[in-house]
Formats: sequence, structure tokens, C-alpha cells
Amino acid sequence: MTDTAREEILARINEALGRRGGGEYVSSTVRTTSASAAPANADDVDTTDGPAATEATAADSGYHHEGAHTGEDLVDLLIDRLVDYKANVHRASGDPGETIAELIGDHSSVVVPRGLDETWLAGFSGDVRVDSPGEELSVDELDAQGAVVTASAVAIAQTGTIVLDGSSTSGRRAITLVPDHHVCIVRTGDIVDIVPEGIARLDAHAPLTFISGPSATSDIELSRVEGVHGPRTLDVIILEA
Amino acid sequence: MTFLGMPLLRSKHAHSDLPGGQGNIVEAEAFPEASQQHLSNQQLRNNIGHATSTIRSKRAEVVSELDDWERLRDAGEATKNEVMENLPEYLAQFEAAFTAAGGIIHWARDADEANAIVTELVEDNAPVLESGRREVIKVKSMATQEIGLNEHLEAEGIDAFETDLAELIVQLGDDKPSHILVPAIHRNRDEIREIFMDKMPDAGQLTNEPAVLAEAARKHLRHKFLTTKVAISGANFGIAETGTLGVVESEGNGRMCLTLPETLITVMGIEKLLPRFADLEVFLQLLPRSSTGERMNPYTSFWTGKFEGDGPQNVHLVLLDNGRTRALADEHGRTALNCIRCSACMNVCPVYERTGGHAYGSTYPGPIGAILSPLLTGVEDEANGSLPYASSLCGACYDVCPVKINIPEILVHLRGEDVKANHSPVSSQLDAALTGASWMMSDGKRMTAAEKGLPLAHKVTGGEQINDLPGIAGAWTSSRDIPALPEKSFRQLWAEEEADGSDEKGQR
Amino acid sequence: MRIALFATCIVDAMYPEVAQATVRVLRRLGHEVIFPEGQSCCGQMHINSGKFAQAEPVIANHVRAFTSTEWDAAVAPSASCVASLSHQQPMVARRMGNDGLASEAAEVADRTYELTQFLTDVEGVTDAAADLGSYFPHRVTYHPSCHGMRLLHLGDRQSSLVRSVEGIDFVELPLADACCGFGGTFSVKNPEVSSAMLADKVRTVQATEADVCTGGDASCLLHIGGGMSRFERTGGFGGTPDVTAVHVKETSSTDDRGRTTETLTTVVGAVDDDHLTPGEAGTAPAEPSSAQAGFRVGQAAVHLARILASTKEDPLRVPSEGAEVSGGSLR
Repeated sequence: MTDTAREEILARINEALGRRGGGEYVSSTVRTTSASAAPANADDVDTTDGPAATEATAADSGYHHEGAHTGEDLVDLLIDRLVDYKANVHRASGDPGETIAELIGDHSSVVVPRGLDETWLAGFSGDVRVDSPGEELSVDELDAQGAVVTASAVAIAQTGTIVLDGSSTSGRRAITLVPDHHVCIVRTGDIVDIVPEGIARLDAHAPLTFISGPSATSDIELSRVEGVHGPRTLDVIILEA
Repeated sequence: MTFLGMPLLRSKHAHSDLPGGQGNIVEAEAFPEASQQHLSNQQLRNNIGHATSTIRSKRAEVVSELDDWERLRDAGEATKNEVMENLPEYLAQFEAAFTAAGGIIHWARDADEANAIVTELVEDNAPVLESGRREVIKVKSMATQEIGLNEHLEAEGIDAFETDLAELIVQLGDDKPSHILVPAIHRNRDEIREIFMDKMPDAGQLTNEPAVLAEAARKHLRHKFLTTKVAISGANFGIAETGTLGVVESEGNGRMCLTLPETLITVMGIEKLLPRFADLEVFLQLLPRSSTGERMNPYTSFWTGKFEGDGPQNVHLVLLDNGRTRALADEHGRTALNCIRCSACMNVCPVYERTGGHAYGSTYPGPIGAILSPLLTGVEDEANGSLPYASSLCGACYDVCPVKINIPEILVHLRGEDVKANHSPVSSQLDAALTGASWMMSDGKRMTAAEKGLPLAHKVTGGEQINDLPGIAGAWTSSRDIPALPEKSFRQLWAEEEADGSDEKGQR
Repeated sequence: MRIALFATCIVDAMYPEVAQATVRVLRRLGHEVIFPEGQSCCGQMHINSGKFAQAEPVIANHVRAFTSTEWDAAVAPSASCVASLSHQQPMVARRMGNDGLASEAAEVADRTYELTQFLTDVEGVTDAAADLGSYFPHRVTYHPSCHGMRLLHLGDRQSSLVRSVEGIDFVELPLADACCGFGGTFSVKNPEVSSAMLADKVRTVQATEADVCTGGDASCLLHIGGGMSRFERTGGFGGTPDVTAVHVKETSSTDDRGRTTETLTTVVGAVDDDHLTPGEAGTAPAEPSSAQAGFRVGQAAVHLARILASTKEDPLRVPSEGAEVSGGSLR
């Protein structure tokens, strides 16, 4: 049934685009246009070489691909933007253990992804639950954790955005979602200035979560309120490494 | 088959052959009538006026932070045009990549087909609860709103819980969305408090503070998030190159739905594709700033099929046509499909600000709705032909559109389509007046002759201003006066001056 | 320069004095002004009503009129009509399959200027008092037309010229960039929505306590004036519900040199900021602020060409000086 729908929708699109006949479509295995169908008259068919032909289009308009901030300016910008969207920002160099211990000291149990440097939790006296493949915490267990501590893949200064990529230090998506308190470590080397630089560093095939401040809503009179379903407290530790 | 020596023209009228969309995209009552009751609602005017003026200034502020904003808009426009021109290829590419990553794709020609597919998937994957019904959680999605999915599921014994705060307000209030970003924009905090107190039995005593109301929603939905097996979402973007889907949100309800359930069903219009993952560098700047007026929204999630050990393992996508191909066939209107649903156009629209979204009768209100709804259905469908006239053509929408959809131009185009489609033998007074004016204004001499009547008209009206006119002109004089007609037109004065050889009026 | 005046149909038939003022200003700069007689209208009314077939002969007439004589530049006292020449005429001609007309229309459009566009960009006029002798010692507020702002991108060309008139007391119009609701046939097809927009525009004009509201488009001014007149006569807008979310209040601030500046601020959606404080009364409906205090009897709308043309020797009079006002427009 859906196969028929597929053929028909693709045929409709071809017709809508004025490609001849309207009955031609492309299959998912052979990605070409309708060259083999009725002899094409150059005037009436949009010849399309497929997606590759237009690869450069978007980049041509001349928007910035790199920002101008570097060094301490870059870090300051990130801090400014994080604070603006109500994240708490801390700085550490070398070992963030002490800062982490201070931030999660009130919790009895926290969860960390398996790849997180375990020495960072050395100063914490409560339980540290390690979430790892085959030994994932259940949703209820996650709900019982006071906090989650993770690293991050990239931070975009201009927008105050931290990206988690499902790696062994960012963790599986659920662990940074269910606990109400997220402590996230951003290494200074992972900070970029603007969005294009951030996107360039990411792998599309990973589960990606962009986080800009704690969860929020503007649904009531378009007034921004922080803290809804995601973690209501976001602590960011900027780590000189 | 081609006729000898005669190249086929691009199918200018192909859209008339393609089926229009169905569902919540038709206006049952013409806009002028539908808007009347809303115009006199003081509460509505206050709520929408306050909300839209707030978001306008937020948007203006964050947009002004980027010195390459116009170039980003150009890139956004070019990229979406590229998608539409190569849509079959990009869909095929997307399908291959999404499938390779373990996702399952379904194609739906219209609302009925999409609803049936989703129903079957839910029945296969969500358990029947003690109540005898099944449950799903939902992330806000325009596509599912458009096809009336919730109503359909309900009839099939499936309760769909909206988890976006505004959608929750709408659902609990037994109401309809009136805005694509903030569906409950027509409600203020006091009304929301009342709805929550009434419909959330365990909420207890609430104040009208937004923070308190948000907290109530968190408690209300928490258990559902942690236990429901099937989630339904929309998608803001589908990346052809990689088969990646993305949802842009704020509250974390999206992350909950996309991460915790075992089965994820996404419904996405076929036009939502972007060619490359790298294109997000443009769209993740355009969308949040245009939409919520933030540099970046709190959460954005991207997933590509399924990930072992992380998130839903049963991942489906329904690709929806429902009139999109018909819109695509309209070469003067197809850029409406470039819309990324930011809602900036409705936030700046002086008409929307006064009528609210319900007056548009469609899931898509405001300026974009006034073009998109009739493009999806055809201007002939019910009262959708009245929507292109629901604009003063002030152009504020075009100025803020992040992908530069020339909404005013498409509105005018669709008025032309409506004129073509309207074969009513009895022409209205306005039609007659315009026909007469066309005849007169097609020739300066006729205009001169007509204006010779001015002294007479001036006399008939006693040189007085005009406060009351009959017929269609009465629509004007119902709330406006008209100046007295001058005794002579400029043309006559000019001719007299030329004849005199002097130019007393014109001299310094 | 030999300048072809494009009077526009509304000015020709309803506001001949605006065309006369335009001629006077252009002559003051030493230009020869001609009036191509075949002209009538840009066709916008038909185009915006979707009647492209009826618009085509109107466009053809405009092109015929403006290609039948020689001129260096054409000038019109209207942003909307000038915008229609470039943004609509070629498009419609092409849609009607008339490519020849489309390119001719585009050519005429290329050499046609809105009045302040011509004064600023071509003539380099920056000071109306000095360059044009403009004199108008009255309180004036200014409504920028949508098409001037968004199609011609006039920016502050109009307001700067008006501000530079000798003796003028210029007061900013709150929410100036909001559409007045005219929209051509919009005001007939959707009269209630249109007058709801108009009502708010009139309220903000009232709040400025200006003698006149000026602008560069006679159509908007006809509309705004018509609303002011109706409001003055009847205290309302006829069938339009007495509902608004727009509230203007005056705040004054004193700078360190002791000078007091009064500014008008606008709140949309609530009576005052107090209502937006969490836990307070919420955004309860405002008291209908309708009929309202402060309407200045005798306020009128007037095209900026007439203010620019006004001089000490031949000043334009305002209502308080006994000038005639008809349907809200200054005669």
C-alpha cells in the first residue's frame, strides 16, 4: 500500500515540477532523473543531475563561516551567553573535581557516563552510578539520581550552546535528561565562536543534543520561564585543559 | 508524447490536476465573517497584542546582533529553493540514508492515509491499558495538527497526550491552537491557571505565575514521560545527505518523547528536507532567532534512524504529501513550501494581531497560513479563497521571513487565482466598480472626461465631506469619512494653467 | 531637468493641491515640470484585487503616457504607486504574456521616483528650510507608509525632510510602522479588520496632540483622516467594536542640563506595566480606553508635499488657524 503511495507522491512531484510525463520517479537505489523515459526535449525538462550538482549553493551567499573571537574573549563570550540563558557558570583548570564536588555535594547519588574521567568524582562522597552499554540505568533509576555529570563535544560561544554527541563522555541521551540537575564540563579547546564552526565539528550520524541553558518555556504570554521538563539546573564548568 | 516541433510548456496548470490536501486546513466560513467575533474580544486583543509585541522586540534584538543576517536569509532561501527543485532526488537520498540507519519510512498521500499508518503503528506497539485504551505521548507537531491525528486516534481508542505546554493548555481547555509556535497565545496567565485548576485534579492550588504553571505541567506529565511506550513527533528538518531528523524545542518535552519511549513515530511533510547536514549552520541561526527571539532555543535533538543502546529502537517516519505537491505545482506560489514554521510573520502581522489565529480556520494562521492553506487545498476549497484577501499587503511578513518568502506577492497571485476560479455570473459591486475603473483608467482621455463630472459631484454633495455611502462603498463609510470632492481635478487645473500661460498656483 | 509629474489617480481626482505642491517644490529647485496628459493610474487597485486582465490595459496606458514625451525623471507624490510601477507592473505584464510591456514598464519604473526619494537621492536636499524655503511652525507627526518603508526602503528620507522644515515641532508617532489598515480593497473586503487597525492608528495620532499628521501617501492619509474625522464627529468608528490593546502614555525625563523631554511610550495588551508583574492582577482586560481623552479637535491629515511647499510668504494654514478640514484632510 505504502509503496504505491511512494510512487504516486514522487510522480506528483515530477508533474508539479513540470518534468515530462509526470509518471517518472527515482528509485532509492538508482538516483537519477528520467533520462531513460520518453525522449527529453531540452526545453521542457528541468535537467537535474541530482543533489551533487548544487552542492555549493548555500555557502555562496557570504555569511560568516568563522567568528572573530579567540582566547579569553571567546571564553568570556560563552560565559556571557550561558549566564544570559540562566545557566550557572564555573571555571576550573586542570582538575574540575573540587568544583564538581561542591556542585553535587547535596545529592546522595549521581549518574555519569562510562567514559567520564573517574578522578573527577573523587571528591564526591555519595554514590556514583556509571551508565554503560549493557549496564544502563533504568528510567526509574535515572529519576532517582540527584544529578548527572558529563563532558561535552562542542560549545558554541555566540549562542551559549553546548552539544552532547552520545559519546562515552557525553553519555546516552536519557542520562542528561531525566535527572533534574546537569553538571556539564566544557573544555576550552572545544569552544568555537559561531554556529557554522560548531556544526562543522559534529558527526551527523551521532545522537546529537544541543543545549542552551536549562529547559525553558515561553508559552505563557511569551514570557520566558526557566525550568520545565528537562533538567532545571544547568551548571557548566569551563575547564582549562 | 510530444507534438512535432512543439516543445511542451512547463505545466503551468498542473496544479489543477493534483489532489488538494485535507484535514484542518480549510476555512469553513469566509475570513471577514470568521474574524468578526474575535475583533470585539477585548481579552483576546490584549493577550495577543501583549504577546506579539513582546516577541517582536525580542526578535528584533537578537536579529540585530548578527551583521550577516541578510546573507543568512539569502542562504536559507537558496537552500530551500534547491530542495524544491530537486525534491524527488533529495527524498530518495533521504529515504536511503534513513533506512540504512535502521529507520522505517512510510509514505502518505493525504491525511487519511497518514492517520491510518500512525494508528496501525500505535496498535502494534502500544499496550492496551486497564482502561481498555492505548496511550501515546506527543511532541508539538504542525503536521499532525494539520491531519487531525489526535481526533482520529481518539476515535480508534488511542489517547494522545500533548506534552508541549501550550499544546497542553489547548488540549486541556478543549480549545484549538491559534498560533504555530505558541498555540495558546490567545490565553493569558489567569485563564491558563483556571484551565489547570479545572483539568489537573492533582495540581492543588495554583497562582497565575508562569513559573508555577510550568511546574504544574511538569508534575502532570512526568509519569507519562517515564512510562509511555510510544511517542509521536513532527520534525523541523530532515537531512537528505544523512537521513537525520531534527526537532527544535524549549521545554525538554521533545527530548523526553524522542528519547525515552521504545517506539518513535515521526510525521513530516515532504518539503521539510535540507540537502546537507552542513545546511544546519544556516537554519539553526535563522529559526530560533525568528521564532522565539532567542539566539538558540534550549534544546535541539537530531537522530538518524536508531542508535544501539540509546533511545527508541523502533523508529518510523511518515512522509506526508497532503496537498504539498499541489502547492509545488503552482510556480508562483511554491516558495510557500519553503516555510520553516518560525511564526515571525504572524507575530508582526497587524491583521493577525487583531483577529487572532482562529479566524483563519486552518492549522496555519497568519500571513503564511493565508497563502499556505489555499495553496494546499486550492482556492476553490470551502472559504479558503477568502484567505488571500485577509491582508492589507503591508509587507511586514516578508521583511521578517527567515527564508524570504514573498508573502505579499503570493497573496496577490492567489487573489488572481481566486478571480480565475470564481465563475460566479453575478459580479459583486466591487467587481463592477473595478471593471468600470479599468475601462476609465486605461485611457487618460476617459479619465479626463470622467473628472469633468467633479464639479457636478462637488455640487451634488454640497461641497461637504461624505459620511455615508450606499452599497459596497458603505463598507468604507461605516467607520471613515471621505473629504469633499474637489471642484476640479489636478488635470483640469493643469490644463487651465497651460491655457492661461501663467502658472500662479505652480509658481513659488 | 525636465521632470514628468506622475500625479497618481487619487491625488489627481481627490487632492489636486498635493500635485500642485509637488510642482511648486520641483520648480523651486529650478526644474521644468511637465504633466504627461494620458496618465491615469498605476493599476495597483486592480492588481491587488487579483484582476490582472483588467490591470493590463491600465499598465499599458501608463507606459504609453510616459513614453510619449521626453523627460529626465518622473516624480510622484506617492511611495505606493511608485512601488507598484517597479514591483507589480512588469510582473503582471509578464503574467499576461506581454513581455514587451513588461520591459517597457520596467524602464519607466527605473526612472520614476517618489518625491522624497528624488529630493534626497537625486537632488541631495537635506535641509528643507535652507534648500526649499519650507516653513511650517506647527506640531506635526508623521506616518510612514508601508510601501514607502518596505518596498521603496525610504528609511528616514521622508521624516528627515519634514524635521528639517523651519519652525516645525516634530513629534514621533507611537507605533509609527504599524499599517493604518487601508490596503486598497482590503478596507472594502475586510472593513472591520481594517477599521480596527485604523482605530489604533487614530489613537496614536491623537496621543501626539499634533496639529497635523503627515505622510507621503495620499491613500493612507485619506484613510487616517477619514478615521480622525469620524472619531471627532461621533466619538467612535461606527460599527467597529470599541476595543483596543494599544495604550499610549506620556513620560517626561529631565536631562542633566535641566531640559525636560516628553516622550510617548506605548504599552500593548495591558493598561500599564504593573499588570505584567507575576502574582498581580495579571493581564486582565484594560478598561476600554476608547473615546478617550485628549482628542484634539481639528487634527487633520496632510501630505508632506504641502508642508515642504509651505513658505513664510505663502504658508499652509492649520485647523486652529481656521483652515478648512474635510473628511479629516486639510484642504
